Amino acid sequence: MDSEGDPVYISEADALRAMQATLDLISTQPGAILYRGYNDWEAAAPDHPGQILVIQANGLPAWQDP
Amino acid sequence: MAQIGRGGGSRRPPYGTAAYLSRVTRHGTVTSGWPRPRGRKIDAWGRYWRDKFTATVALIKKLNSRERIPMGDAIEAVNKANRGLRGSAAIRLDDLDTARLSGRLYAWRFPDGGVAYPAAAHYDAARRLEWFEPMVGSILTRTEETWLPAIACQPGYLLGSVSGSSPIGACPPARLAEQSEGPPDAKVPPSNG
Repeated sequence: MDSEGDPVYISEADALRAMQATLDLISTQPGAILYRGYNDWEAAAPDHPGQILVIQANGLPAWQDP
Repeated sequence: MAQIGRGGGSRRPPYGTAAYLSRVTRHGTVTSGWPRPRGRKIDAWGRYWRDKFTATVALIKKLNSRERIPMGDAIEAVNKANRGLRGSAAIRLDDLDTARLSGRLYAWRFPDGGVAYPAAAHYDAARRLEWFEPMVGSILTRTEETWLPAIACQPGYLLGSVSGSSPIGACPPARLAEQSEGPPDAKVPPSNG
């Protein structure tokens, strides 16, 4: 285990694989989304089936009933 | 003999006095009544989850410390401590690249529905997402096979999921579709291979 603070250099392919594994820790459910808010990354899921994802006027996505 | 406190001679002296902690009997000096139990009472169920939470926090601190321990053993220990926690994020052994970079849990959920996010782990995840796509409004989607790169649309657009491993489709608003044949600024995410 590398000590904290030591840089870890990995290839781009390994970085992409690590990124996918990181996101899979959050969710592996098809249809799950993550979006970048104004301050941080946030997860969004529909309240019930049938909702659609609409880009609001502020540029952020939101689930709405059709 | 002088009495301590308001009680009679048969009552125990007040806590904090030498007479409370020790008394002389025919067998010698006996010390009792220490340490005094303090804190609120906790039932067995609460003690179970408190101990599990304490063990998990201790393991995370050990992972974050400079102490060199086998990563495989650490992951096994964390998963063992977290086993049975509903919705807990277990680190898989085949994700050694991820564990090597961070070595922390990302979130775990308690029976009462509360979720705890270690601040450092949240920072790690957000930092990697920033490297991936830092634009406000960018969306990452999860298909049946993998996560796809970000897509950013203009306000008013609708996003629809496509079955299989295809990326989501961006549909322009109806009024824009009437004015032009195709979406003017729709950004379709590249296919993942």
